[in-house]
Amino acid sequence: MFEQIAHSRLAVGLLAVLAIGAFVAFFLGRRRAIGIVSGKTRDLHSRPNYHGYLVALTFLLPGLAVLAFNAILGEVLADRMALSRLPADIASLDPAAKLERISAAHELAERPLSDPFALEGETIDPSVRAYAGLAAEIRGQVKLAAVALASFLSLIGLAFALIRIRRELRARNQVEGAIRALLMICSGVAIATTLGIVLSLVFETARFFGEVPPTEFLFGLKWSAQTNIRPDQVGSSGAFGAVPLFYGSLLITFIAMVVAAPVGLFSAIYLSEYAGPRLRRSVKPILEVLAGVPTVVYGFFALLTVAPAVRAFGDWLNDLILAAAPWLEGPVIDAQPTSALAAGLVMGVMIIPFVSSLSDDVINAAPQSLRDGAFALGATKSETVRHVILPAALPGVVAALLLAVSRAVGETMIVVMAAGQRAQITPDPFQDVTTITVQIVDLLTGDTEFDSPKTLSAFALGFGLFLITLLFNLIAQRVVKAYREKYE
Amino acid sequence: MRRRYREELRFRSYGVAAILFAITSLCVLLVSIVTEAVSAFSRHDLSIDLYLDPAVVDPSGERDPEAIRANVSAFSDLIRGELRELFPDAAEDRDLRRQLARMVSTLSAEEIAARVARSPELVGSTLRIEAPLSDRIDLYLKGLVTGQTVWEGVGSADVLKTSEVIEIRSQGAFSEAYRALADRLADEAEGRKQLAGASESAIVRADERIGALQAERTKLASLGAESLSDIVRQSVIDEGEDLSALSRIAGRAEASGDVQTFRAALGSAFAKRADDANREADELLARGDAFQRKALEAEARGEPNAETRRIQARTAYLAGDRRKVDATRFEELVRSASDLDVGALAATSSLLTSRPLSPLGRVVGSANEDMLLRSVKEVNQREIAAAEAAVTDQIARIAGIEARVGTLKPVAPERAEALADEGLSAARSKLRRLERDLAVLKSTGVRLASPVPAVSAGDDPAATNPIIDDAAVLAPNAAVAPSAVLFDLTEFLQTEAEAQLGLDLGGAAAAAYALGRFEGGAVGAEAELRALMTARLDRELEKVRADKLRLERKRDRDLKAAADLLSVAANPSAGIVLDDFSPTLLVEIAGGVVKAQRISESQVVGRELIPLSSDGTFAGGTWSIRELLVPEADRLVTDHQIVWADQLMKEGDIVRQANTSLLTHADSTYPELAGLAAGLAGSFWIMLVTLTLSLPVGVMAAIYLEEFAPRNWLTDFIEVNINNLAAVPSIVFGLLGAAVFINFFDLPRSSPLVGGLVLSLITLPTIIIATRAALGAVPPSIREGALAVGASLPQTVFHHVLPLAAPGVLTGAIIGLARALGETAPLLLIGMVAFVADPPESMLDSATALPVLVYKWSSGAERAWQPMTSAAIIILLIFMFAMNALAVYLRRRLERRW
Repeated sequence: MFEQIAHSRLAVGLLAVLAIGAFVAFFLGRRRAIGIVSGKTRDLHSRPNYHGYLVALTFLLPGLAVLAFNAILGEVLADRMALSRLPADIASLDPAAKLERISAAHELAERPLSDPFALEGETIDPSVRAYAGLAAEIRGQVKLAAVALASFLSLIGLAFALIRIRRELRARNQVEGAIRALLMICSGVAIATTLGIVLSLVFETARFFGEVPPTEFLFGLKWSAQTNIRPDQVGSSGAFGAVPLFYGSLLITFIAMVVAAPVGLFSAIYLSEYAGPRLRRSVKPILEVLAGVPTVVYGFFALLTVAPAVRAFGDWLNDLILAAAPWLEGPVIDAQPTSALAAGLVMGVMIIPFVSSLSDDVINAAPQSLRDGAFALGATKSETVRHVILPAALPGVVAALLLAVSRAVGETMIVVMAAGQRAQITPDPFQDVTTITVQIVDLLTGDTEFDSPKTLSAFALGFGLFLITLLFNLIAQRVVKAYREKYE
Repeated sequence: MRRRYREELRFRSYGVAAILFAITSLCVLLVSIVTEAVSAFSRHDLSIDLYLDPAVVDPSGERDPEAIRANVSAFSDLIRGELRELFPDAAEDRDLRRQLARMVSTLSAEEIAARVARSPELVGSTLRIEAPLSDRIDLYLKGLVTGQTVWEGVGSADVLKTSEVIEIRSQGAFSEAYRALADRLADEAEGRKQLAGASESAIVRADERIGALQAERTKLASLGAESLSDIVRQSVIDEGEDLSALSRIAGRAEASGDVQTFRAALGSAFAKRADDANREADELLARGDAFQRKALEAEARGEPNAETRRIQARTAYLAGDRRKVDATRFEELVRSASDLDVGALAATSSLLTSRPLSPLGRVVGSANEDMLLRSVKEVNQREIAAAEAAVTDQIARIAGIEARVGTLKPVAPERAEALADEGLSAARSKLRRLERDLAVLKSTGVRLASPVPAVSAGDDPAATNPIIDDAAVLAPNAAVAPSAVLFDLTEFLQTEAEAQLGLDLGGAAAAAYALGRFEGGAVGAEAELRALMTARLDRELEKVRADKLRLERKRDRDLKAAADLLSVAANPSAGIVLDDFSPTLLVEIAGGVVKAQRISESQVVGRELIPLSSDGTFAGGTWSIRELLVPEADRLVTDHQIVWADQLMKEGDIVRQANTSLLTHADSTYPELAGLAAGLAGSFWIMLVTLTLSLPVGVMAAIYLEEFAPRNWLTDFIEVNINNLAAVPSIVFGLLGAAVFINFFDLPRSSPLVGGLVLSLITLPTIIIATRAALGAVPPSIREGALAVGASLPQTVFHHVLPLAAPGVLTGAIIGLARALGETAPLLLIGMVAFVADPPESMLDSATALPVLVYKWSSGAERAWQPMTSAAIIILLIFMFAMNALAVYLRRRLERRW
């Protein structure tokens, strides 16, 4: 009988009942409140609807809490109870066989009763079958207990809330208190997320550093993330020196900033100081489109158009240099199919709107009086911008650039698709390099086990990335805030 | 003043240039993707009437839908049969038949089978079918495989048909095509010249290297003993540790007679290996346990990866067991190492170094003599057998190369010559070497068979000893094994050394051995070291010289080829020979197609691809010449397939239509059948989860922060937190998802639920910030009015402020969702890249998402994936722009100004 309960959708059913019940409770509470003052709702402290809400809440919460607890822990609890009553014929087996039997039994216990325990042609060990029956039985018992407890508590809550209704009950204040608590919990999600990020990264990073010394990770020059089975294996041991990855990220970020900083800054200056309102209105959305294109699209663009062009350019440059200096040996520029330059250029284009809109804000925030003063002294517009506005806005511009850098360092898809895989430290932008983000994706794509340094190293890299971006963001935000306050 | 104006102008132009750069980049991006995508929106289908022969389609005659659906191969047979009827000449040849069959997509029959299964009464009737062509043919028809040039045939042409070839003569009609080819030959000649130049500079470098090596060699003679040993030691250390150390100890043992050290070293080497094996085995077994546990857990929860885990566990167990066996073997060897007698040790050391039995072996007592002889004989037999096999192999290989040269000669004499020059001569010299080795081995075998004089212990080391001599003859090819155990062991050591340390055994180990002898104070060891180093230098010299010779020949060949190409191009009457590596030249005449094999200005000789109806004279304008610029060897579509496809196209059997499968099909490994349906469904589910989670939570959090929260450190902290979260790279959220949702909470990988959870965390800050801005824009007078009439704070917010802020909230949410729709990196980390054949049906099924498909397809190897990726991007962008446009529209429509 309990087996049937185990396979029934009893808990889901109760959830539906509770939902409908909440409506009923609402009307019950409302009616009772009106009844108490015999229709003269003006005498109530709170409007009847609030009494209804309060009753519905008191009805709903205990039941929901029990059901939630059951959903998370119920089956684990049941299976543990079943294990403690493991039949002797299974318990006496050697560990591997025992585990096998238990897992088979638990799998059996999952199956609904409607199809018989044994599928056609499938033979099941009788001891497994017996134990599976037991497990299903216990699961049913636990489930039934949870459902019974939930219904009981909800009914108690309903009765309690109904009895509590008085003329002077401050129902509105209580409901509003509940709402306020809910709102507070919601805004706590942000903290929980940050906490989750920090904890998971720190935890896994600590595990990683338990296997690979931090000095190797921070100062090692060789990256080849492999798991070596034997500690002193010579030929194919993994190397976890992250310097080449950080270098790759920095190189690509540098190239991106070389593109994005002047273009973004100059377009911001032009839009805020020179352009008329009509031009502004038409150009700004175009820049926003640039910001809205998904990065995977930029990545494909880099792969399809930019990387071949960069390679052709590199080869052309190489021929040019060799023609001018025939005494040089071999290729001077050995352009690769995917290169730091291609990824950096496209990333630069992606970041332009970021830089331009942030600098636009900053430049606009510079007070008009500065401009007027400069103009009054006979300065031209460009002189005003260069000698007055930019120096005044410098902290803000620097902050904007910092934010752009942090964004570029954390950008993933473009580099995954167009930067290559080779962990190397080279000043040549025509070579392929790999970055922190590329390696994270590489290490965690596919079926991953959380117990090898190879997988864990991704978290160490992620932690490094998180720290870098966090640092840049905090500095930038502080600078922007100070700057705003200065001119407000 | 003018300078200031100029400066002003320049500054202004910087701004214009910056904006133009940004806009141009956007345009280039969109244009390059759109132009690439265009071809993916249509596809070519083979459209023919197919007679559904009941005997083939439904052999049982029961019209059972399931049986018909399963009988896909019958349908593809029918389609192939139909194609073969259209091109009967292709049916003769197996290769042509295969090419013909490959024109249609591999799985196109599946849809037809499904269609017939739905209405079984169609069996026996004739059905008009549309089967997708294979991606390559499709690409060709879209003009993406090769460029073409077409020349109208001017003047009349005479066609001469012989059994083998077709000859077409027409005075001067081929001159344009000929000249185009000749130009390309000139280009190729230029390329050849450049190659020769590269070879030349490499030769110069080789010369320098030879000079340096020779100088080093002369210097070696004058070096003192100490510095000599230092050089050797350095080179030994450079090349590897483990075995070299052992060899060195062996050498020292031999020189000083201290066998005990060597025995101990050997023992500890085995002990170390036994330890390693044991540890590895334990680790593997533990890993197996872990997998087994995971399998159990996965199974208990009914997850699909339980079976994978169990297989992983089994593999780990097996590997662990194997290592345990290894470990026991090594442990045995440790024990036997202490019992090894001097002779066995000597044999081991010689095995390690692959050198003839060392003088240490000469003190071997006569007890070991028989055993040694037996082993030498045994090894000799083995070597002879191996050498014989190698010789036979090599002869077969040479025959193969000769055949290839023979077939190339008539069409591409210069290529054939190159092959003969390079491949054949190398193969022949290797054969000679192998034969010589074999002869030596055989003569040794004969000598070994004769009786051996006894060897007495303590013989003068310089005295000759037949066994030792024979061993010396065998070396370095033959290893002398005193016992099966030792043989086993050293073989293992050697392979491990080669595989793991990259150790050249003959070189490094021998050097180490000699070094050991020197350190042990052996007489003449210094000379030995010197000789060894000289020999190594000589080997290196020989290698560089051989390289140089090869380069010189390559340079000469390239120069000659360039000259030949130029002379051919300059001499129209001789004609140009076309092969697989030249552009294809087709003459379409008399209802057939001829592929040119030789062309001159007024004559083409070639073979038929589609048979001509007749020979004779054809007037100008009724025939044409076509050049396919990409050589046949460089493309995946053969010449036959191209003319067939053209023929089918001409007769209307191929239709071009909208590629609906792009939207209706799920992912596939064949580009012509792949579609976005699964990605769209996955993205839909993910967006649903994201919306239902992030919108209420985000709005409520924003309300709290903007309207309720007291100004204190906690609120400040939350605010800083939210601003930071908005700037955290999305991939970090992916890491969070992998660590928390998948690893900790054990939610199913690749499910839309996990994807939606992660994306809603990413979207949350955006929504919170937008909502706060919208709430902040509502004027305080509204709040004050509500409060003045006695509303509580929550009533004010929910009844008055929030409705007014709703448009702003909505706009922010839509923009946040649009951004989440394009997010890729976090989804990769939670396993959404897995191949998903069916659209997900619930939030817990495996799914993929639109941007992830873009990423996956972009790495597809076939050329056809590029347009497909672009098309997927276009669809993704359409969705995103639609969402953004909706947001803009709502803002315009609902916005209130205060």
